[in-house]
Amino acid sequence: MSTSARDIGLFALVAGLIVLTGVMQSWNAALTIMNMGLISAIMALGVNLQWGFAGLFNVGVMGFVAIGGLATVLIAMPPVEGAFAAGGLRVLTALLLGAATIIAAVVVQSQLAGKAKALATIVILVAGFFIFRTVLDPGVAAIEAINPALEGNLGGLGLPVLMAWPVGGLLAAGVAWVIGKTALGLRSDYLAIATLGIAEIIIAVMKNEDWLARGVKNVVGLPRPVPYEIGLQNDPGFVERATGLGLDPVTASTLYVKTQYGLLFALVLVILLLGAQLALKSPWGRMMRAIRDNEVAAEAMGKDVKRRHLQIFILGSAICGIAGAMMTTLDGQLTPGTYQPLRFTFLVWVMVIVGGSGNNFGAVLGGFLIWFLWVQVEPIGLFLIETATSGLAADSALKLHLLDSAAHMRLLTMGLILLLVLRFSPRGLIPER
Amino acid sequence: MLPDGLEPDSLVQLLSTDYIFAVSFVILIIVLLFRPTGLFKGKSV
Repeated sequence: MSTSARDIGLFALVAGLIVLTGVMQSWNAALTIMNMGLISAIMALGVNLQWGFAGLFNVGVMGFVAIGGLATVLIAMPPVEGAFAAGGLRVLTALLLGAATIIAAVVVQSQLAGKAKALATIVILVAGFFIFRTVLDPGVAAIEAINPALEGNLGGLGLPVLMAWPVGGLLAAGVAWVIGKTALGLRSDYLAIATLGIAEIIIAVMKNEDWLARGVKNVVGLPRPVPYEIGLQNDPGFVERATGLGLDPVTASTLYVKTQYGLLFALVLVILLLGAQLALKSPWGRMMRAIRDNEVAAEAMGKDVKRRHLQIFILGSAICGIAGAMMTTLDGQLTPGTYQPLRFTFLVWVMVIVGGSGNNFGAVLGGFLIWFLWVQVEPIGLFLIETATSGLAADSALKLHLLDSAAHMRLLTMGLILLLVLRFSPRGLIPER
Repeated sequence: MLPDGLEPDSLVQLLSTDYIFAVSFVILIIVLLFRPTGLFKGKSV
């Protein structure tokens, strides 16, 4: 079997699994898996850009995904009435002052030397911190006092939610620039620890800065780019068409909305996949892989390794940011408490490794396959255990224990799949070529 | 300890307590940036 036939077979297999979900469970479940699969595929594309093309070990994917989600709130939510007048200016001034403090400290670091440098840095940072807090705190208190049960934050700009996707990418790119400038000089394993830490810091800030996006109180009811189900159900034209197709209008409306989301996501995925594929085949992509395979040799050939690393770090992170904005749009809410490294960093890494790092189609396949398994392993595990223990008495302690533990199949299976793929196809299901 | 006028009227809290993880990671990152082999000049590979 030629390689491309095998690839097509693998994609057909995953499509078959999703269709099977539609037939066996419900088409709503299948579409939900497909939509999140599309988003996961985009995240995997971003990680594949960093790891597969350039060999950058970024385990801070979660942070960029969360920043994309934040962008959705900042762009799409309507502004909170009176919040900006109450404290918006103070907060913005405080943020500028904070940035100025850090810039001053950096300038001092580069200009002075010896004891004067250390002393000046400490004085600037401590004084800057207290000035920052003095300016910030009253503003934050004023903003958070406005209708705290529902708002208590600055709100957004009230722009169309689709604009949040590119903006999420830009915001993530900006953060990636700051991180890359400081941390990319580290050795690869230290870069991993630094990105992991920075992602945790981003989440901690999003959880605690209530004036920004309500923190752990969550922002709900984000505007949607597609119609609401209830609107469709009240639309006589839609109901007529649904009954004409032999569908219940309620089911038809949910399927319609999910399909619309799916089409939007698929469009983004196709554009990004095309771009990534063209980049991989271009001289730029070959240069990236040359840098990945031998940094010293590439540098000796006159390639600016640091600059290229920064470039691809920003590009990959921007893609993760776009995916994060899309996910928050799909969910309709921003819940900073749900950003877990296991789900948003390591699962994406499993997708890239299982799919095949260095191959864009591999990353996309891994995104769909791993997401499908992540969702479906729990019900399948429960079903297996129920079947296996069906001979035991209903109150048997062993049976109850096994049924209780079945839900933990998920993580076990993810590890098992990773190990099996690494054993039998070490370079992933669709290896780099 | 401080003179009357400067003494804060409640506990001084520099940051929200929920920032424990963030603070420890900030320390880690600062050390990595300025002393990449650790505070005591560990061995670099």
